[in-house]
Amino acid sequence: MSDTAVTVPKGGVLSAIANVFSKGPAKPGESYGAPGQGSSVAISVASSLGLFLLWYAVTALGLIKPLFLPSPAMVFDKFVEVATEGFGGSNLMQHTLWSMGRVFGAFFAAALTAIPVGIFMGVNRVMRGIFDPPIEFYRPIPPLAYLPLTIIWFGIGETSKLILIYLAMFAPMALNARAGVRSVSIEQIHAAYSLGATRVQVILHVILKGAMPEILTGMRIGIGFGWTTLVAAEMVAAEAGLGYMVLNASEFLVTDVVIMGIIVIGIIAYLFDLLMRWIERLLVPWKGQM
Amino acid sequence: MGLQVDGVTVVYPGRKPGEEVHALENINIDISDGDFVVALGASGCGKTTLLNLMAGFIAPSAGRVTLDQEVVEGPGKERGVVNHVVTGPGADRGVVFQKHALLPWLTVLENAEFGLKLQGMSKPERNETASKYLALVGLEDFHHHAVYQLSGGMQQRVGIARALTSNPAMLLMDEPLGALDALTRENLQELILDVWRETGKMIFFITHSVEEALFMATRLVVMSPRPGRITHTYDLDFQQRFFDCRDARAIKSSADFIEVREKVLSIIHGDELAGGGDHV
Repeated sequence: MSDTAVTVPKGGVLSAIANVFSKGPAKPGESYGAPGQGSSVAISVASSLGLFLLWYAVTALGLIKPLFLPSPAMVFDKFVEVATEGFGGSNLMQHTLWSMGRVFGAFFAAALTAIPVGIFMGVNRVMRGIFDPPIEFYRPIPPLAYLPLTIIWFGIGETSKLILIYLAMFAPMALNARAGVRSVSIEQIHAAYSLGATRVQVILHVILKGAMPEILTGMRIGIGFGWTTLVAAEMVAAEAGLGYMVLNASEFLVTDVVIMGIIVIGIIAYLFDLLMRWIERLLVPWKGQM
Repeated sequence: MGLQVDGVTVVYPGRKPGEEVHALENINIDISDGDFVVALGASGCGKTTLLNLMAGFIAPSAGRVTLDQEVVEGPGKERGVVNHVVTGPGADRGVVFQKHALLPWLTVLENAEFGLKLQGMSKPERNETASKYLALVGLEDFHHHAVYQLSGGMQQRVGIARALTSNPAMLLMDEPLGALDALTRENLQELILDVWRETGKMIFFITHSVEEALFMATRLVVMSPRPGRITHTYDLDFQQRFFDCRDARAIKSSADFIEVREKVLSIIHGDELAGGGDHV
């Protein structure tokens, strides 16, 4: 009886992929049958470099016209040019500052309103009854769908842009704050009451603190939603901003500015996600520990 | 004086309309100063309902609970609660349900003095009181540790110290040792007995373990499910023998201990076979 299994060379990517089907016992430190275990950092680095090399290769070989996909060098040159000379009436720093102003303005407004609303929804059934239907109704609607309405109601100025981003952030922040309140254990609440705590003290000293990990998760998700809504917000009557820059460039088929803008938005959004994770580790080191 | 449970019945509405669940029926318990009362019984016999009544978390459908002649209406610091701990990291996927009673954002000392802080005691004063009780449970060197870095046994010591700092008249302990490994569990049984003798608090203690119940109780109440009621009561003094000889294993393997253990086990097994047990 011959062995019909495919033979794969030991080590390397191929055998790692073939391990999906392996039946041997696990190595020390791994647990048998746990799906997808092991570090994927090296593979991620290789995959990113591979994508970049692919981009470089197809443009260097002239397989795709620069109108559709400019080379990495052209995009970088454009980055320097827009940073110093500007594009669409402002330079890159001004575009970035306008966009960050919109995202963070909406973020602070959302944090100051959505988190208290979420907490009240968690601790009070009347508040939950009032706020649950509107939030659950508008939450799955794409911001682009209610953009026309915000323009009719609030005009084409800054207000409608801020409100669009604000609405995109409000639902995840409120719902996470509410989930945080619900995650506090009844044992912690009972313990506080039997130590003589009043209802207000239980809310301030136990429920709010216990909800912190989820509140921070909501803020992280919220700021991510803000960046994804930015381009929609800057579609109408903006004069500066990264989203405006990308849209304006696409109208004139300046593809290198489009790609450069996309990369800049991606990097900024990623850096703020890292910042929020760092703040999480600082403020709620017990998250997932107990 | 002490805590009296007088003819208490607790009835919940059932799942079907018109259906009633008798969680407790006509319970009478009298806990006086120096008593260590342990409740033992199969799952669903109403042990935790009884503790929640004493804590004031639920109200009886009939009868009343009094502490020093005053009717218990709601929780209060004169009845300290020590809950069970569930150790190990919680799942950090989605919503984390924190199944423990300590506050992980506070250090060991801050947890122990939490009740005093709520009552508005000054910081040096509450530090001193909390330090005294942390020393009593053997945690004098762990004041500034994060509670989530401690083992389950040490976390439960913090829970005991925290309940004691408010100087309650009695401690209500709901399976405080249920989640611990066997060795830690035996150590903490001895610690709780020492704390009890040292402070003179009344204790009401719930457990699933027959051995633990017999070893610790001055009075053991055996409960039966459907409806939850007390079927047997035993007065015991194994804990006094422990204070004399300090050898828990010798007591737990002595002939008279084993005799009572088998008797109580046969009562509980009878309940399980009669449809109690874990199949709810």
